[in-house]
Amino acid sequence: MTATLWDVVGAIVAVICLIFVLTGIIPVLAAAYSFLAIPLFAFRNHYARARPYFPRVAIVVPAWNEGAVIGASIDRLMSLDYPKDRLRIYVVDDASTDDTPDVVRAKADQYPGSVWHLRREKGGEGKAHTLNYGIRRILEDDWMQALLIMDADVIYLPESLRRMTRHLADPEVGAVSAYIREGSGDKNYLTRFIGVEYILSQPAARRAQNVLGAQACLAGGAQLHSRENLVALGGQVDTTSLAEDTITTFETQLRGRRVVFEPHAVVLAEEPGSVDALWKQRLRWARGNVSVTSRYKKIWFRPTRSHRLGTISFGVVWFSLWLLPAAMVLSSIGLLGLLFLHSPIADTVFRTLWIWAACTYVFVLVFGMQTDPALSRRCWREVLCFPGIVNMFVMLTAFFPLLVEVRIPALFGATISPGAIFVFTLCVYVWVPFSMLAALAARRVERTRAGRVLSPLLIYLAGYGSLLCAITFDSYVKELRHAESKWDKTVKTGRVTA
Amino acid sequence: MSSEPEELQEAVRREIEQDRRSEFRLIPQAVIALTVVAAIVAIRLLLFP
Repeated sequence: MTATLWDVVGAIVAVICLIFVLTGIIPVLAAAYSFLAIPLFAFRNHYARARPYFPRVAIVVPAWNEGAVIGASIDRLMSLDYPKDRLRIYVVDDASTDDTPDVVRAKADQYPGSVWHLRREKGGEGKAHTLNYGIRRILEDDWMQALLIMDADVIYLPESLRRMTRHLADPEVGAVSAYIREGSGDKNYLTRFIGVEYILSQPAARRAQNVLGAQACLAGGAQLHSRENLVALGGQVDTTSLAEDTITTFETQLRGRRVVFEPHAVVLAEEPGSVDALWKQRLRWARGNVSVTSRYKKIWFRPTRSHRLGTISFGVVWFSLWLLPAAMVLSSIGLLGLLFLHSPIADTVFRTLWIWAACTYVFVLVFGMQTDPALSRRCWREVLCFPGIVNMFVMLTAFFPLLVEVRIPALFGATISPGAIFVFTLCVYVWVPFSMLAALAARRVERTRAGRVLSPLLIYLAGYGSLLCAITFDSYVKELRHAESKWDKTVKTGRVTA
Repeated sequence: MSSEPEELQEAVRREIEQDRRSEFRLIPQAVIALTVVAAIVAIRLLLFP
């Protein structure tokens, strides 16, 4: 009787463990689904409704202590391949304490009528407040037909704006975004990883979002709005969260207007060169996404005819990214549970999960890298190590079990005992959560003397994806603790080069 | 829009058409990626049955 009771309890625990493990397959399937949708962009794109269109564009540039970069930025904007009489640059100086006002005033004299200096005497409230100050002033007259929101340090390739405005010829389009490409002049391992991430998340994944009919987020440094859309949004961007770009994107689509991603409009941006700076930036984004998920709780998985944000596919893509760290931890717990229960399915489940993950990873990377082959070639090491060297070893273990456990040891005349295989399996199963700890360690050691070597080494071993998961996990913790949300400006030094 | 020189409008029209056509590259790119995956699976099945 007792034995039967234990059998039942064991079976129930095994089922729970199996469910936990299966949570790990959801993000994998979502990624595969998303990338399989990309080729459909060849047929489902907005080019059929794009026309030559040159609206009067007001470019709003929020600037706080951007003296090092703002002058060159204005010069580059004035050299855009766009009719000069239809372009105005409004630099919203957020009470800068450096030479930003002098630089901008000099540029206003150099380009009379084209460059405007808007000064906020009381600043420090964050980018959204700064933008709103500029947008209010710009909307005071009816000159502006389209508004481009950008960052002070980004570089628009000459034809980028022209490639964006052509979509606004369609009145159904409310906003257009561009491909933000990593463009730091002094690249290091981290900026190259970011470059790979941006290839996967923009020219690849955003094409898929165009196909699915819903965009998750307009790039903060490259969003072009029609005047009508901006007015419909209340003439301002959201100031209550850290995710004003995402909220603007959602509100545009909820009002029945389309958001288009234009992969051929390329904007180069400077990205953080240290794990700590990246952590702060992405933590802000991740916490912003938490507030977006909560704010729009009534739209998820509720399809309507007016927008596509409520479709099952978009919901799965959104939540699989947001809940990826939780899925990874649950999956490892489930695998451990099955291992300790001596379940005969543990091995099969592990292999199935990781073989799917490996196939998806290979497909995503090989496909994604072809969408920007030039940058991919420059970042080839980071492409190969993107999931982490240890994770690749785990995939190899899943894919070719005999190779790792029998054939390689046999090359050295060794055999592995069942006990050693158990310990090895244990390590493999728990590696995923530990990879996030390794990423955390990379941040901790970065400022030490050994950090210059150790920090990159840990990221290459644990994987850049694990670093992003660790940051998202940190956002869960911060939200649960109701930690203060504050706007940390990412320090920019003008390292971006065309 | 109509006040733009005809040559500029024509150039932009050509650019739109060129970009639209270039998107068809996504199909062979996806096929290449799927082929790489298929090759790895085939190695697994043939060499490590």
